Amino acid sequence: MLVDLLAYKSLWRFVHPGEKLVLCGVFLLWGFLPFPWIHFGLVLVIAFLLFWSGVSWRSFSKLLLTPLLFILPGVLVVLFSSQGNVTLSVQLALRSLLLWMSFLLVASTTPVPDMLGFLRNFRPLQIVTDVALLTYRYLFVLSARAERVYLAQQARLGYGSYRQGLQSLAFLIGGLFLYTFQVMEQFRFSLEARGCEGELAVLPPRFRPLCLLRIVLFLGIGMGGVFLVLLGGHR
Amino acid sequence: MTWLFEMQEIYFSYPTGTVALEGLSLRIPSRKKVVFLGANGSGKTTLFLHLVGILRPQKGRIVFRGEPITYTRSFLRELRQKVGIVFQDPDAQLFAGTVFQEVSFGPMNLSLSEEEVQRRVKKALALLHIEQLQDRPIHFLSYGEKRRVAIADVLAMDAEVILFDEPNAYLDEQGKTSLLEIIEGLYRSGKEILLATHDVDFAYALADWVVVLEKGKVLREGPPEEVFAAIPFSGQSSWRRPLLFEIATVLREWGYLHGTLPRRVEEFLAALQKSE
Repeated sequence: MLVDLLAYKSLWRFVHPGEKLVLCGVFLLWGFLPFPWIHFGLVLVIAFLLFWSGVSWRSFSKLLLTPLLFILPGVLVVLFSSQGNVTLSVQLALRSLLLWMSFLLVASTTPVPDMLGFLRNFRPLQIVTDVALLTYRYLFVLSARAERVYLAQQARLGYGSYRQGLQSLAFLIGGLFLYTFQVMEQFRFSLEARGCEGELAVLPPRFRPLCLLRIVLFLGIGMGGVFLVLLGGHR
Repeated sequence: MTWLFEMQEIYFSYPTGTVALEGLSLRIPSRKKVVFLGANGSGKTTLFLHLVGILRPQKGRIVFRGEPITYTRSFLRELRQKVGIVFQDPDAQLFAGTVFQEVSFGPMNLSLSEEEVQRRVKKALALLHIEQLQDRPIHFLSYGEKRRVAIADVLAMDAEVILFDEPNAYLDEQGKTSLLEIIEGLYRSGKEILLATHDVDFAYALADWVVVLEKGKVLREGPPEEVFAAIPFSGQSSWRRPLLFEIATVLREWGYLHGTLPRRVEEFLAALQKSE
């Protein structure tokens, strides 16, 4: 998966996730405030930050295809239902893009296990983060298995016709269920053998220390937007 | 001779009805690299799971260094601290985000301080020459790298006894050679080594003591030369002798080789040159 790959190679991988989450929150907050020009500016700022963190133009344009699939139809609907109000449609597109890019900034700079490791610090979330980590890890194991089985089926003309294809797919899915049970049993054994007593405790991911100055700066920028709205600056 | 493990009349069947161990009795000597040879389904993995107390015999008992395994929480905790197992499929063992975190899992379960866990993880990674992988996610590793991480998992727990379940499966020749070196290194550093495989050549290159399992029982045990010489070698037998053992035995009979039989190709070539 491209985002996953980018996150591991990101120049910002070891920046504390707390900072990235606060920055993302600030962008989201601005996204909900009624300042279209600022939205435009922030889209450019995030694009710059993405490139700074190591995302190439090529990767960015590939990633952009997904949100365009849902932004464009939405914009077209608004365009027709508002009797050709182009400004409104562009504003909607910009806002959607800004919100999506805010999440992309976090997702493309923080690997999932690192984020889960950070969230694990909040004790009530531990069980959720542990399950999410296992799901993430075994998603790759399962997809590799599915790929191997699919290739083996293809090599024996398993997808030669519609009927055969459907049957092969059913075998593939059924086989994956069985494989999941086998792997899970082995996994349970391996946890027990390493003295696990219920908790999947590992060393926390290694990040640079949290920079409070940056957090304060980001929060300040966010609060600035709120004040602007309160003071009626959007009119 | 002191015994690492003693098993007396062990019986175990899986809920599916598969009989895995059928009255297995065995004494495993200390300070020997012990290799369990057996075809698929001969009971090797089941036996190893018994040795770390994950499976419990339905009949019979197991003794570890003179003390019977009692299956209390505290006993099992202590046992698993001393006896580590490297599973056959690394994908069923490795789960954490990065290699560094993965290797820290075992020591974290020993309630050690974070500094001590870090020290152990670094030491284990260095021993296996995989320090450069420490920040890599598991799904970006090759099969051979995953295998090394799985070994590091057990090393970081500072286990005294390491059980390797089919460690050479799916490894290429270079991977196998490198694995042999790793295991020899661990043995020299004082670890007890028990290994299960069905690769007779790999077993011959490593073992000081061989146990042949068949249908959940011990077929034969002893020093490799004795065991392989005694294995029935016919079209009906499921066994063959190691290639090097076979050739070296014939050459010794013909007077081209003298003394103990060589275990590795390089030893064999050196012995041949010497006899010339």
